Amino acid sequence: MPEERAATPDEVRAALDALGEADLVRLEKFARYRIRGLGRKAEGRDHDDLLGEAIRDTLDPEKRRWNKDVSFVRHLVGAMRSISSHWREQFDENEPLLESELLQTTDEGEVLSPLDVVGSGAPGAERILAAKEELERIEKAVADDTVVSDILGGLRAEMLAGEIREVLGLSVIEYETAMKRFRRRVRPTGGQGGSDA
Amino acid sequence: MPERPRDYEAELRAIMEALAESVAEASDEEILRETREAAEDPRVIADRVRDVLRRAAKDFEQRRLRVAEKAHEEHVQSLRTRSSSLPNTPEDRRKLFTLVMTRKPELGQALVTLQNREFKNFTDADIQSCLEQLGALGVLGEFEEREEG
Repeated sequence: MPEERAATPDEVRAALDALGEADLVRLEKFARYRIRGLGRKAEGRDHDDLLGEAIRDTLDPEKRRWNKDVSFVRHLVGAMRSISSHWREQFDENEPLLESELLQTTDEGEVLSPLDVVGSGAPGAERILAAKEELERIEKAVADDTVVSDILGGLRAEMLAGEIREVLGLSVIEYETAMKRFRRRVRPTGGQGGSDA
Repeated sequence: MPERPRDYEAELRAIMEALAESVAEASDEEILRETREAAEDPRVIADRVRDVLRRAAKDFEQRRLRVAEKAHEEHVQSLRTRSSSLPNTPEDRRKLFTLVMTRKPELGQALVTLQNREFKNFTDADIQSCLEQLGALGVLGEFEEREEG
């Protein structure tokens, strides 16, 4: 990034003060969804921690400087995306044996699900069970909406938005409208055992 | 070939990340409407988030200040350690100072106290100060070693 496009700490603070109501709410919702996506890999961190880390990194000249060619909100969204992915990668690095420890094969060649070994003391099994239960709540919450359920299926298969639209024959607007309905059923504040999902 | 078990955590993450991205792209009106629909007050949330961000910014500045203070303290401590290795008596300190200035007169230029003054007029405090400055510059080591040798 050209040095003259990198924001100074004073410019960052001024941009922070100028954030409007909708953008502040947007940042919070984004942070909440990202933390819910981490599940127990968040290791006790919450959306406030993610928001705070994004600002601290932005003020640190050796970390994530804000390129003023990008809006401040977009910059913070990008910072949170990157920080939360980094937290997950750190967790995975700290538990490198988890996957292999959890996958067990019987004498008949059947691969046992990690859930089959819940209660066996295997590391991470409880965490995986929590993810499974949350997925079931989400499936239930959107069960009466065919399009959203189909999108959910695509996301679970780790397809990208463009791929899902193509497979389901949805326009960008139809996809976004369905995602809007999805957000209403799975609110960012849902957490574990929220009212919607 | 046996079927690989589902990765529930990856599935949940993909869903939440897609919802997060849809929030990032939603219009301001949609964001505010959805918040009100959930019986939440956007202004209250906005105030709270702004507070979280400001506190984080303040925390960062204070952390930087603490790091700078620590570096300063370490520097001062290092100067103290060096000055504590100076000779104990004023006579011995003057002897060491004269030795340094005789062998390396060019170092006199680096000492603020020396400007336009004669060595013989130096007080014991002047000598102490000069030796501390020379110690901080790291030039006393070779003289101390020679003295010891």
